[in-house]
Amino acid sequence: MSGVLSSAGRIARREVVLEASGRELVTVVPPFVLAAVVLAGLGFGPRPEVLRAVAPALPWLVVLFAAVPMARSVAAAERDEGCWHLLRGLVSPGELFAGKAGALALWLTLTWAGTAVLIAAMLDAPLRAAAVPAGVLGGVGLAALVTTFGVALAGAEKRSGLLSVLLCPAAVPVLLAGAQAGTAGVNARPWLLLLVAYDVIALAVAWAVFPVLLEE
Amino acid sequence: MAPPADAHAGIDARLVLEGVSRSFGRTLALAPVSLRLGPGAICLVTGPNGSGKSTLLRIAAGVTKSSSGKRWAAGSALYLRPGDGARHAQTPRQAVDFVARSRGRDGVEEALDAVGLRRLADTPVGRLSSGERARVTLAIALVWSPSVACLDEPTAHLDPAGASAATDVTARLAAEGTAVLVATHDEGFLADLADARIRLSRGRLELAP
Repeated sequence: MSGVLSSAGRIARREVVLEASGRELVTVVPPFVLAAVVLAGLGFGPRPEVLRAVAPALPWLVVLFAAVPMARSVAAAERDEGCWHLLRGLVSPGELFAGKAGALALWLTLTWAGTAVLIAAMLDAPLRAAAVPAGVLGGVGLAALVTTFGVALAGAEKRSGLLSVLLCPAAVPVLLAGAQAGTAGVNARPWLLLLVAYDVIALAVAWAVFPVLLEE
Repeated sequence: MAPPADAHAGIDARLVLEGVSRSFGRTLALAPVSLRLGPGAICLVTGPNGSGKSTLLRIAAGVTKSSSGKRWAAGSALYLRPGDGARHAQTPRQAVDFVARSRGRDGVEEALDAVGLRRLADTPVGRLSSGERARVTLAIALVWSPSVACLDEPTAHLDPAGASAATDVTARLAAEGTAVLVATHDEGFLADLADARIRLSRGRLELAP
């Protein structure tokens, strides 16, 4: 088990180094987040009660849309730059999945957190504390999902469109539970438990199908 | 079926292919091929474009499943084309170091030296020429030191000095016990070092002339 974690950590570190050097996501995601929050403020109007009502769901909508360009880093970018076979030969499918999903969970959670901070600052609609664990749990579940779809669609021509179509229904539980867990006056506990269950199922299914997806 | 090219019969095998073939729909990319390579064997695969060289190498490395037949490799197998193995945002040193750490090996600087990349070791791969990227691939193969190395056109994009480095890397891999399968159009490449040479034509195995 420690070998798997060590290899997965090496893959995840490589992702972080690649992002630090290539700045592929940094140039795409923050401007997208900023635009989404500004447009949401304009679109929903100036009334504070309306903004506070939509605020818990808004970070999740942004994360779901941002997940589409992020998915390229899972396998498509590796294939385009001739590294996919190397990774497949270098580590086991489980290690590759864990490393890629771990890095993706970090990007998704950071995106959620950044959006939440912007919403609090620009729309004066801060999220409650229970939204934070929901942000982490949702990020993990979505990372498992996006990693799996990212590999499955790596060679597809209409990758982005297909990913959106697949991601929308599969990620609905995260959207609903994440939004409810962050809504004032709602008991967060059952929604957090739903997110835990979603993570367990998503990780188990992804772990099981990942080796099959790697076969050509 | 053409007779198998048996480079190191009677020795412990690193790679055994028994009647492997590959079809894409109704198109036969590779007719059944049998091959057995022992430790340190170098086998050249030649043939015109579309003859099935890359398909054979990919099956041998385990990155593509064969439609029929059996493949067996002792330990890790590597398939690399020139320029493979390093992301554009990585530096050669980062790319080689990642492989070395993953394999629990040292020798990053030595590998970069061996392919003449020390000067460019910290330049992002995306800024290197295709020949320089091909050298990064060779350094990765060297530091990986797999049981089976399948090198697809390793001299493509390389100048004479680079081709010489490719020869040295292949020889060093073989000396360390790696079974090396090399697809090439360069008839002179590894001519003195190869233990076996097979030729493919339209997906079918022909013996070397």
